[in-house]
Amino acid sequence: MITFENVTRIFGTWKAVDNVSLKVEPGELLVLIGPSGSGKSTLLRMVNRLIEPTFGTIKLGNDNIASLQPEVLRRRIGYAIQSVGLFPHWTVERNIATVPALLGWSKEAIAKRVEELLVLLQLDPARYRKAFPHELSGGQAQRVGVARALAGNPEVLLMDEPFGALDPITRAALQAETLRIQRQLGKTILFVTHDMDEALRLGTRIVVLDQGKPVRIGTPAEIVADPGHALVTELLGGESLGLRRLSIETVASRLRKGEKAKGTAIAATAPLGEALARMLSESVETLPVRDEAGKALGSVHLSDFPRTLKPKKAVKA
Amino acid sequence: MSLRAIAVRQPTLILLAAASWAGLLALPVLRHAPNRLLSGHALGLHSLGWPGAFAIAAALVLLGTAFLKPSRQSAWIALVAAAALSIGITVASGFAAITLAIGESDTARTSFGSGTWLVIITGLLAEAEATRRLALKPWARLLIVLATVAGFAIPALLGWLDQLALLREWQAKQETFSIAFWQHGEIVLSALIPTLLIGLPLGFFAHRSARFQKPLLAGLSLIQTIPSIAMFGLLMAPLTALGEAAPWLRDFGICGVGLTPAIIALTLYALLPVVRNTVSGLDSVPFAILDAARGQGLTPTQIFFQVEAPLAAPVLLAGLRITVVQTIGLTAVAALIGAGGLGAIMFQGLFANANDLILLGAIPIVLLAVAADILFRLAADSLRKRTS
Repeated sequence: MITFENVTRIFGTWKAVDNVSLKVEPGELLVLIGPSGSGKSTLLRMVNRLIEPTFGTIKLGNDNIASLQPEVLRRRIGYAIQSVGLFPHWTVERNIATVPALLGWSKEAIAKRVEELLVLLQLDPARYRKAFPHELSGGQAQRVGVARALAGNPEVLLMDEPFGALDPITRAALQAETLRIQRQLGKTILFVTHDMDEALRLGTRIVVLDQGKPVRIGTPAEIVADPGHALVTELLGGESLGLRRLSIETVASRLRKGEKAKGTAIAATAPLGEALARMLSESVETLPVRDEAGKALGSVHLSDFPRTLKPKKAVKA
Repeated sequence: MSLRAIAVRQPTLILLAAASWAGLLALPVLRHAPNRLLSGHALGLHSLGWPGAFAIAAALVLLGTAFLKPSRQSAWIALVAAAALSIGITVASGFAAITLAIGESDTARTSFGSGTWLVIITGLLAEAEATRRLALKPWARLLIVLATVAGFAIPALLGWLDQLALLREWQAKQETFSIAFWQHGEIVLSALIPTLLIGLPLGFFAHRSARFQKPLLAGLSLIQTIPSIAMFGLLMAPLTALGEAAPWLRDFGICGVGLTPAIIALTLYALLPVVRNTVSGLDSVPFAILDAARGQGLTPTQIFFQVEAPLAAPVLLAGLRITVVQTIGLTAVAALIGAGGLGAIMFQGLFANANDLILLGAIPIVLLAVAADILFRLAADSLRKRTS
């Protein structure tokens, strides 16, 4: 959906993005993560031409974005940022309607779309349609921000640390919302964060950037199983890496098929951490495993849990 | 009542009340002269007769409220008492002037003494102080101002003040006055139009280019330091020369005296507040909002007109308020180079040593400035309500 081909961006003497080639697949939520100055935001902002690449090309579908008029391109791409940036003199309704209005939709179509999006983001239309941004809490404002990004029915969504300024509870709620919306609408999302928990929770794939270059690309499970780079280990929180693996890997990955065990069955889709918690609280070392429908699949053993906290390929590095 | 209860609670009010008492008791309340060039003899409080008692009662209440515990109620009492004092002494003076005029020649003049002026001014200040304390909404403040103006205007329309020198001057100069009044407004508007046409674009470019901004604001500040009379004088010579070098320009009114130098000078003074507030208004729009606007696909023109300009408007309006009030005042000075306006009446009085004529020019200027100030505050307030 989005293709970066040898993209470089230089500010003065500083290479913010260094020869990056990357593909974001349709329907995927690709997370860019890295320390500040790693080039993640620059990479994202080049997609809607808020920053132009110094070298290289970026394609949206089959279109080279450099050949499109920036405004036309941006109306095809949803954009949500950390500081939200709602227009303070416009109502929630008019804020959400920004792109549809630019695209020249009819009044009825816009009103219908606003209603739809408020419902999707779980904001009561009757209450919030006519509200002004200063009347909203931080979480509500960002919901409106996301609704505004989705309003023009864009093929692609760019989200630049959208939940970075929110408290942990609101952030978790909006992360869940993002996953739900992404599954429901099948949007391609490029998501920037510096929070590894957020990356692991949301990402279909994660790209770890350091000094303008990707140092590790993989699914959350792959990255947790094998950080492959000192920076990734650090981002994963070093010591607590093992616990993260337990929260990413599912019971299914350690299933002993057909074996029987006593006790209440645990779902195959549950994370290993949940199985461990059950084992500790029930003082057992094995649990029966069932599928979604409740059919018995086998069992899971404590002895099969990942033992080593060291990355598998550490030797190679 | 304990000592604490009668302690001085409102120092500003007590100071104003004390000053008005000094005006009532120690200074002449009226001056009566056989003609307008003589200063005449001073008359004390007793010359006001029984209507004067009303003013004294109001002054007593005002003094009393200064010792009350500050509350909304006491502020309202102070407000009403202060207004009653200012209006009361004016009306009492009007009645006294009518009595004094009986059997006198037409040239005789009765004018306010220094005591009455002091009472009117302290009364209005006390009213303003009480209004401030009440922290009212702008429309309520406007209502109070209008009620006060009506308090002075109704007795005047009823003819109660006809024999006061100020009103006599107005009756004699009614036609000149109304011409001067509209001329004044015309000069202010003629200066505002070029100010906006030049100031808004200058402010816009100064906002976009930091390199341009510093010298521009420094230059405009420098202009503000030139005394207005000097500025009018400075413009006379080059404009006269220009008019002589190209006589056809004179057909457009370009010459050393009159409207042209006045409007140029007023515009130069008016630019600073407009430019400065345009810059700070545009600077105050957060980057996040502009980034979001660009990211949603608004064009630069759309961003300016739909986002930047409306968000900068309240600050710009504040600059415009300063500009208009300042220009209304400065226009008085422009009369010196023959531009006309209320300043012409003022200077006529100044050169003829006729105090009431000076006031006939000065009071409407003050009222115009106050009215403009209130209107712009109201406008800014209604804008801010929607955006903040």
